[in-house]
Amino acid sequence: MRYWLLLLCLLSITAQAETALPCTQDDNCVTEQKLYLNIALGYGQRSNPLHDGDELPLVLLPDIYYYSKHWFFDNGKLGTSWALNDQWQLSLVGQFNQEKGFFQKWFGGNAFQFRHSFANSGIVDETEKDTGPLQASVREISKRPTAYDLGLQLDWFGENWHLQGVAWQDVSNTYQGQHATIGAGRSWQTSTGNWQLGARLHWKSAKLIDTYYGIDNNEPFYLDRYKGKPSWQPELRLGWQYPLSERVALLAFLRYLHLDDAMTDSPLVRTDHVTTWFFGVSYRLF
Amino acid sequence: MQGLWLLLALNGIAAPNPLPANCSSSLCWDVSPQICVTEQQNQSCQTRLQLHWYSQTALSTCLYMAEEKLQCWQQAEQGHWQHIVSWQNTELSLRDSDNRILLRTELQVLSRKPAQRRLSSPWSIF
Repeated sequence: MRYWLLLLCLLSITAQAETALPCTQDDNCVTEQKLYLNIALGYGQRSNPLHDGDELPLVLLPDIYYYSKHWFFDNGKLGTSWALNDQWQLSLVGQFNQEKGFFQKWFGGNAFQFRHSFANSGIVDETEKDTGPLQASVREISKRPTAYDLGLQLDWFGENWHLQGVAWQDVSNTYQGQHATIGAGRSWQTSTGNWQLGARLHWKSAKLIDTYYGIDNNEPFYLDRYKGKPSWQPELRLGWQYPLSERVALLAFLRYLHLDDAMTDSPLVRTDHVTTWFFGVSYRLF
Repeated sequence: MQGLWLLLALNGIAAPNPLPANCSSSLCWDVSPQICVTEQQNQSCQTRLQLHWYSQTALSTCLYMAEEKLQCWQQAEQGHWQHIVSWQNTELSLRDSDNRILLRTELQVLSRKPAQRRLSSPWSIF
């Protein structure tokens, strides 16, 4: 409930925003039928909330997107979009479900990172096993599936504000559930650089949580069983870019995702949060 | 409508605006506005456009919008022109009697509506 209040507070501030103005935040504006490719080199980490789940080192980050008149590809999200008016945009979107990224390092964008992935073979290295009787290591469980989701996305753009809501449905007959996100973001351009602050609230269905974080009778007998429940996960995002030239910029971001009881009650889950941070230099190839 | 055109005509023969303060060469002009903002993309801009040119020597010149001749002056040291016109991105030029371009200014049309906005956050692959 407190998460809804936070978002309602943000929405009430946004409701006072002016009508749509020219797209002045370069990071959010695109020219149609032009491929954009940015590469960032630096260092950061995404934590892993799972027992024995490795942190993901972030060294080389891609930012790739292409928008045509009717469809777009943006960092793994493929969609088609309709402008309802100057401020509202409705899109049909598809992308791989990101949940598997905690279980398999070489998944989606994770493939850009350098360190070896951990095995999902079920063979446990006893020297690394640090889980207690009520805990389950990611190395002990069966492989989690790759799922593809279709979603309906609604965007609202103000002068410096952006609201977004997306509802996703598994269409790969994998976890057979849904998840959804609503969020609000604001951008500033100051002498210290371009800043972006965003808040999101994620909802994940019981079937999704159960598929990835549940422990059923197909898992080793000595692990505690866990039946997934719907999960609410609020997230805060802070981004910063300081242009050094037309193509080069300093880049940093910090993201904090809070995991509720539906996640932390799972024997697989070690912490109640996921933090992601990065600092580096970005270069616009084209 | 006739009253409007009359008003424009009167404006056309009224005393010219003060000379451009930043004029340091032998020929210069002041064009206003040079940027027009429309509501939609690819919409032409319809607004009152006015200019004042000044020369240290008498010139015979013609004013062009792109390749369309708008007005000519004979052996004048300055000229003033204003009109409600419709344009998209184009240029104004002042040419001599040999059609050589003496002065040139771009007229830009910007749209309030952006071409497209990103529908994913930057660096959101992780």
